[in-house]
Amino acid sequence: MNNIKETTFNAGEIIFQVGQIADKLYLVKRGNVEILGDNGFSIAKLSDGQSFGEQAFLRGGIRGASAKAIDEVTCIVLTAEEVNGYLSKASSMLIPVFEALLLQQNMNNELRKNRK
Amino acid sequence: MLQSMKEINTFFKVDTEHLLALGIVDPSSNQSLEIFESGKLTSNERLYFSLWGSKNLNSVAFDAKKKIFQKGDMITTAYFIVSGSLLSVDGDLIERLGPGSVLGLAEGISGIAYPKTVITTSPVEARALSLSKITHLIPRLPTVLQKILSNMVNRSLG
Repeated sequence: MNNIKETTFNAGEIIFQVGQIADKLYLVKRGNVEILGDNGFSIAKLSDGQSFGEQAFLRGGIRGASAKAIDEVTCIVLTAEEVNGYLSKASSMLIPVFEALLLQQNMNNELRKNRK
Repeated sequence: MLQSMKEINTFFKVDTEHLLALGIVDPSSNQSLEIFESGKLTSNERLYFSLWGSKNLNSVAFDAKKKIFQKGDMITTAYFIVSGSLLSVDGDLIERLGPGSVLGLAEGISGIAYPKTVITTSPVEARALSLSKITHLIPRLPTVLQKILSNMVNRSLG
């Protein structure tokens, strides 16, 4: 990976919003990010080494949450096109693996949420 | 029998009836692909559609009342459920699982024992994901994608 792109967001800056096309995914290098649900409530806080925006693994996916920089945040940013390129180069088998992991993550979140 | 003895605590399935109602009966047909591109599907429905039609995954079928995983099993094959229903049991926690469920992938990648027993309650069609193949392929990924994969696994395991 020769062209790793880093982007810095200012404190309070919106990185992406609910309903936008999920065309990039992010790995936090420095700083803190808040993930907000469609009602604006905080879902999670992420810091160095954590990733977000994995909907970008899904071609044409839509953001189901927003992401906001809590303080100055530097992220490694990969476009969906770059991700698919890297996965295809390694093995086409890895595309369904990432999709299935995303689905398993969504499933486990729903199972925890629906638990009586 | 298990159902009559204990309460179902939680459930998960992708709404395949919605896909059918939209006219998606075959993931490889042009009509289905047009609907996929139209933005009418939820994220989980899109993931289901994509995995259902993946040419990289082998089909596998299970009869009703077949134990797929026993609590404590080390995972050699993970499954994406295309159709049918299952129960996942861990003591008093009983989960009903349907189409779109993914079983054993995060556990298999992280090399931990499966924490539940999973039994089919109807005939089940699934797609198999071989963990030996996957763990062989992961080192080929750029480091940043390996980190993201590790994050997704950890998040899935909770």
